[in-house]
Amino acid sequence: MFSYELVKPTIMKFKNLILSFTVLLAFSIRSEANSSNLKKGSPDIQSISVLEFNQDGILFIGDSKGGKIFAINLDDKGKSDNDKELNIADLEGDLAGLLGTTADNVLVHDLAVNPISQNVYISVSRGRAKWTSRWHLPNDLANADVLIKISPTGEYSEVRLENVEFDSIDLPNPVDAETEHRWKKGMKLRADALTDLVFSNGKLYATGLSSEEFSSAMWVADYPFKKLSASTLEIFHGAHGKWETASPVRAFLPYELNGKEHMLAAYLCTPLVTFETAVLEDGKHIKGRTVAEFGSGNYPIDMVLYQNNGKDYILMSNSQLPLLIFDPEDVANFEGEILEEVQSYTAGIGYTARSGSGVQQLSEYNDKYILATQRLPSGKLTLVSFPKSWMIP
Amino acid sequence: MLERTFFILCFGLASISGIGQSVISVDTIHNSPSYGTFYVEDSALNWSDLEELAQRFKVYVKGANNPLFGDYFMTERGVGFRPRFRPDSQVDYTVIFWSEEDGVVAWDTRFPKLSAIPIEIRVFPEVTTVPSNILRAYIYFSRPMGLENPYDFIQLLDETGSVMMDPFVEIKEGLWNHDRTRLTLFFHPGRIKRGVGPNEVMGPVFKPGERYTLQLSKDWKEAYGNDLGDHYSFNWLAADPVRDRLNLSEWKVIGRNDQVEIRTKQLLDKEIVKHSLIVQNGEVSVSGKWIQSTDGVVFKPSIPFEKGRYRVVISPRLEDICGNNFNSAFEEEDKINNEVIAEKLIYFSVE
Repeated sequence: MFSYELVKPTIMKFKNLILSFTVLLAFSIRSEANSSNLKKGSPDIQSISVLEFNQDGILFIGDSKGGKIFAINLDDKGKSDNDKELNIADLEGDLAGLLGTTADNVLVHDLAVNPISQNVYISVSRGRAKWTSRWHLPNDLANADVLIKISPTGEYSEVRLENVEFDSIDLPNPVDAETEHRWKKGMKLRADALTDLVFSNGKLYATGLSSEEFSSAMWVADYPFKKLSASTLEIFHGAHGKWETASPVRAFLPYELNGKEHMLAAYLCTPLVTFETAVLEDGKHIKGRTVAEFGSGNYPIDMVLYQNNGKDYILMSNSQLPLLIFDPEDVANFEGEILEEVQSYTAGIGYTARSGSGVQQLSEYNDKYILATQRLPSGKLTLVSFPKSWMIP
Repeated sequence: MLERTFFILCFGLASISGIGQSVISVDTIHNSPSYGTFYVEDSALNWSDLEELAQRFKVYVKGANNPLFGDYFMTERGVGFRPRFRPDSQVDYTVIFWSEEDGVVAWDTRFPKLSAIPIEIRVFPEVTTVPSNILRAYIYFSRPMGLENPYDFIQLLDETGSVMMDPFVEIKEGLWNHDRTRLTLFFHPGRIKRGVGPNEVMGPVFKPGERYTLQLSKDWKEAYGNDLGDHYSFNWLAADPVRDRLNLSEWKVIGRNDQVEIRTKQLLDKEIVKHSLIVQNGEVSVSGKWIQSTDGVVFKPSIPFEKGRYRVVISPRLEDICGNNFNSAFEEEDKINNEVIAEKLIYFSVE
């Protein structure tokens, strides 16, 4: 008979050895891959649709039109310990000056902050004149073709994506370039091929629309890029009272719920849904767990995780609803899921509405501040820093 | 060639060049490959340090805090600056050139409005005589139009030149295509359909035998903020109403290797034709373009037809300009919802 007590320490030791070996190996592979996978050149980016940084300052650009994701070394690795705020009163006015046009013709598509340097990167186009409906998102109207850097002291510069170290990976099945949007007249679904990017634990997660029968998709790629796995997503949308697969995730972020990493994903008409990341698998169709309906008639625009008094909260910006805060602990503790048509305007876990109407893009900025773009009653778009200490739910 | 806007720096630039005169210029010719490029040039100068020149030479949107993004390059006699984007005729640009001796020299310039290139406007039906119960018309613009309410700029005038009241269904923001180059005018159906309230109270929009003018205001702005500049007028003579269903037996089809002509008794709706008529060779659709002719429609294939037999598949959704389809005339109950209406086929041969 085997003695468990006797065997266990040996196994543990062996496990530790494997673990340290794996860590070592992973480290050496990663540092080697980082330098070898990226090649110098000019990436052929057709639309700077969505932006995301990893902890090493690599910028990921989701290109909906091109159906690709790019990884770019911006060589922007000067560490910043800045804990001050950054505010720009008239962002579009400044951009108009840089791009040679009027403020009402400038469109900000996405914003991301390099966590090392605290430089702010925004993707921009000159397409706002085409805006005619509250349902139009920037990527519906134009392909962002300018990447602009704003330093923590508010200085602007254009980031030329020429002769840079980069790599790219093709979406295996982006939604067809010619498919028309079902109810947005004249708009192509391709603008939603990539709706958001998230980097978590060495992997890049991307959401958008695929050409599959169930078009809402989540792609996962190890970084450095090798292969992209594609899962299709299905959710129960309480406000509509039905299972849906055609609407893409609009904003998502990773969070560990009860010891397992999940993606918390927000959709148009504002259901909040969780997907366990361990079950995402190439070719698999995955059903999410709807934990909230935050209110219909609204696009969730962005989400950011922050800490207040040592506790995690999530801030969400919206096209029609105010800035809202919810507690991921509520998500973890929510029992069951929404599987029936919701009769009230909201359902599931609750949220706290915060002053901050017209808040659009969000990003962690530094230890003290969350950076956001906000449309003010004057009509101007401001870049504004929200103190985390103020964000008490 | 030198159709640039010039500004001569008549300052002593001796310390840079010895002697000479510097010229700031900008290319304002729309179709020029260097349209929008700014230059500082002086034949007597010997400039070579591009970085230093870039520091001395900046272009701003007037009043902006930061100079334009763009590229500097050496020219034979100086330096050029190509902004990141083509110029916007709605803004003034300030060119700054700086030298130790003369300090800062600033010059404001503006690019000619795109309206200098006339906008082309067409109206469908292009024919001068239209049935008095016409339901739809289209206005086509060669450039995207602005976001203002289009009905503020469109008037229908009667024979006496008086503005007619409520001829159109006014839909908020207008019935535009996605790039705002086509506006659908929907004549008030309640005034066209006999026996319903508006028809009895206000009467029909058009009366047979009378002349009408569709007038577009000179103040209507296109998407870049330029107004039309001139009034645009289109004249129609109203003829007898057409209240019959479409009838395939009245159509005539004539195929040639470069086109197929379909003579229809009724004037078909140009936009509905585009997605309701498909020319096929067997099961394969032939690519090409539908155009309106005086008595029907003509299909021009992208590649000439080869000898053989072809067919035209006609959707039951096809309508004439008065809203009549194969299944029901505009004034009849619409039966399309109650029964399955098959597509219709007509065949033609190309010799």
